[in-house]
Amino acid sequence: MKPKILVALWAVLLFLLSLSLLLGFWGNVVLSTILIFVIAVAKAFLVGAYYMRLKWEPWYILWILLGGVVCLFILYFALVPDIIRGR
Amino acid sequence: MALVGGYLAYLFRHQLAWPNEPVPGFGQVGPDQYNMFVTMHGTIMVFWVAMPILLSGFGNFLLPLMIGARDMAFPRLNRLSYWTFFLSTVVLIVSFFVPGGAFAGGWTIYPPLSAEPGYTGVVWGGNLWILAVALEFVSMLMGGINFMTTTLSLRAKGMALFRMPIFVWMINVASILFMFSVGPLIAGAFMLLADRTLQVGFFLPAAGGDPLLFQHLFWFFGHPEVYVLLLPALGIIAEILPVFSRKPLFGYRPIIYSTLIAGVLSFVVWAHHQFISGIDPRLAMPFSITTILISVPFAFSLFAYIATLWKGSISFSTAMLFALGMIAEFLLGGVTGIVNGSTAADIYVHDTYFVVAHFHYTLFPVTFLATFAGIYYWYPKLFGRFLSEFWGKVHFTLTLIGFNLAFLPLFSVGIAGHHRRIFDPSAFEFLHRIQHLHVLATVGLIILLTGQIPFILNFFLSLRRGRLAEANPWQANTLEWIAPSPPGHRNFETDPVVVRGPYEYSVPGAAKDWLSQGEAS
Repeated sequence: MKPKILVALWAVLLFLLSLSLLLGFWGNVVLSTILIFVIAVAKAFLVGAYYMRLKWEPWYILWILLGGVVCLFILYFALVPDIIRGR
Repeated sequence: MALVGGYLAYLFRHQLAWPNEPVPGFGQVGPDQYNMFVTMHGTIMVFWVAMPILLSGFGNFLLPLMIGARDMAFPRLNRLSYWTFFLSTVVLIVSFFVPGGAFAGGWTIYPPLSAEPGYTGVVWGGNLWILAVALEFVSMLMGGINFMTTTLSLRAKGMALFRMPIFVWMINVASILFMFSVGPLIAGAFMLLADRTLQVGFFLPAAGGDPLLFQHLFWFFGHPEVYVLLLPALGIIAEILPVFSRKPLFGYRPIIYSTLIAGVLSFVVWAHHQFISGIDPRLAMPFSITTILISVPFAFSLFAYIATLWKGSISFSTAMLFALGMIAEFLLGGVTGIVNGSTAADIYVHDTYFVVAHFHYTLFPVTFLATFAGIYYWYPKLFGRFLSEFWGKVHFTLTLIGFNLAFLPLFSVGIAGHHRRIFDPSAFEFLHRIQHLHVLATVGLIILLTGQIPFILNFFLSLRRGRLAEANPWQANTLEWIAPSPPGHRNFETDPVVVRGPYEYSVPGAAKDWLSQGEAS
């Protein structure tokens, strides 16, 4: 992939990051939290697709990545009864 | 490192058998030293013996050969991984010699004991422990990524995924498990380091932290880690059994599917280590169910291995003996694990010597019996010479007798209520009647340790004096056996082409009882 495209993507990522930071100052906490998460997911997809080149890899590579995300959710939700509700 | 770990075991086991008597070869063991020896024995054996031998050692040598690759995908990353591991070993060994000595809070480094250096009196030893483990994990992560990339991109022509030997599958599934599980522990380890050095308080109750959080992070890694060790061992056994019974491996595809299922399940069993730690009781039941469930795919694999032997033409070479020994002993470890997986039973035996016996029956066959099986089997490929079969069988006999004598009595010791973290059992009157079992276990350990002398001598003497081996001395199918013994630079003389599966033995109508998986292009 051309370096020019990578630099352009980097600029897009920086813009999205700035947007997330600005949302932090918005009064609507629920909506800003949701939007920050949506932006974070979009950034993760861009990084995965272009910088990690997953866009051009066979489908089973994506499954390996998704496996990690599933594990993250398993850990997070299993911690809820002890660490969050337990307080 | 295995010798260091074994020596530490000898020191604290002698203390348990003959409390407060000087240990020959060391002297008097004090309570703090006892804790240190137990901690470092566990650390070394799990992280510096089992993982590097099974995953990195066998994986690095065999994986490229078995898939017909010239080298690993990232040779420089491989070297970086090795030197990072070497550095981690230096850091760990140095921790024995800093003021206060090595870490002594248990190999699971549970806070708050580990988060506040004042509790154990070990300051630098604890910090170095965390640093060493983090370095080691980074090294293993580099190795795992290399294994996966090599397998996915450098397979020989014709080497479809379902023509790969089981060992290659196992190494890859183990690498994936490691990759998914290690992140939380590295994060937890550095949070712990921050607690120890900066008093941040992630895990210190007095500072608003939660020690249970660390336990979750540790075991989210720690339980899949058991399978990271187990899978390469099962892979080694899967390569050996068909060769020495001259039969195809029973259930090739189902073994792979059950391994993948077990891999997924391994991420939903970790809290069975925490049944009595004060976790929310609602968590206990799902974790108990998944724990018992995970025994199904592994039981399937082991029974498939046993079925491979059915009506086979079995030859009891040393490699085969160790492979059979591994299956027999590991079955005992698996069956006793059911007791720990059930919450009600676990409450009774938790943290007793029953647990010690159980995990040694699980991890010893995996770490040592499978490793020895692999070494006796692939030694001719590694060095172009055979190990002595006679001394191999002496080694096998002493190892099996020593191991069972050392750990079988500990089930009774545990059921009798002996907590595993007691320095001096003679201080408790109710333990006096089982003291002879500690003596028996210690004698067993001494037999086990001295039983390794024939192996060490055999290993080094055979490098020069061993019988010369041709390229395929066992008449085996997999690709590594068409490479010269020992394989030269770039492994194969010509690129192999894979034409069939890895376990085609005794095919009806074939001229001989084995059909090589590959042909030179």
